Amino acid sequence: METDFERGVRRSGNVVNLPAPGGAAIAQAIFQVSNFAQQIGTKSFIPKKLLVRNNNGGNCWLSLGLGIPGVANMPPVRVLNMVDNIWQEFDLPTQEYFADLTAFADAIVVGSLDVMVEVEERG
Amino acid sequence: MADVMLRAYKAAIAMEPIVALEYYVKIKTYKAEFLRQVDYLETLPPFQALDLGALAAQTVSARGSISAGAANCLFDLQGDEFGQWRWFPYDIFMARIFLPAGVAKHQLKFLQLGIEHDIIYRDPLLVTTEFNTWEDERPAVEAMNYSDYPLLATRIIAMGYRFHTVGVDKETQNKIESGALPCTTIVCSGKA
Repeated sequence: METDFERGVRRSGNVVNLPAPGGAAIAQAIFQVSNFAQQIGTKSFIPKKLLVRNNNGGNCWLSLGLGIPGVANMPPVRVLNMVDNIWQEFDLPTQEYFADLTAFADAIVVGSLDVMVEVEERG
Repeated sequence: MADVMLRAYKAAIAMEPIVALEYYVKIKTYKAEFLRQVDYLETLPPFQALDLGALAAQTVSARGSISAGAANCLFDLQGDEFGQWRWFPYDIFMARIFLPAGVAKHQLKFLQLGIEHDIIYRDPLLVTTEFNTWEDERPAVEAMNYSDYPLLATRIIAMGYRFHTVGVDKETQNKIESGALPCTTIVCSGKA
């Protein structure tokens, strides 16, 4: 049976490194909405999977939201130190984005987070 | 939500053209009727026909495609063409449709029925949404956000066929009207 990925409705962003010292001011886009001028219609997307590698940043909160500085629009998730942290579709609310999704960690003294998101693209 | 466009394409594949090549048709609009013959048709795969934009909670949008002009009315067809459409609201809202802009579709005496996003699940082939248009006698759509949450987009997905037609000579018209030649009536509007 074909998967959502094969149908073309799932896409992944790049691996994005969120360095110390963290904070909303250095929020980064982890998935950019498709807005090519000649595409037909408005594209949007819904995050379906989130993979976060904590590189010795200490236990911290990761916020998902919009803009730089980031404005969180769902509760932050707790990222444990030195392990892979994974949230899948059934862990995430169906929040639809029409602009770039940004992410930021709260203040971390050292280390960094590697963040990657998989989304369902709509439209 | 993952399968919504897959469902849309299945609906499009299952949709058959109302007439075939060379068929005679009687086009009835809200103001005129005339006989034509189909000389070309092609499919219109599912596409975003209209986005009425962001909509606050518990509000009704402006009627799309009246004042916005041709750029916003992607249902418009070229001259001598009629369209056969099925459609559904892509985002979670209720849509009311007008054809042309002042004439309500799905209209009872005191109630105009709306079509919700969920129709793609309940009527997978979208049979109950079908309507026809003539040239650029444009349909218009109102979006209703009945929920307590704002919407960032109100998109309509449409699919169907466009048919190019040519005029028929007087002799053929007489044969059609006398019943000697078959003809399919295409109703392109309700009555005001």
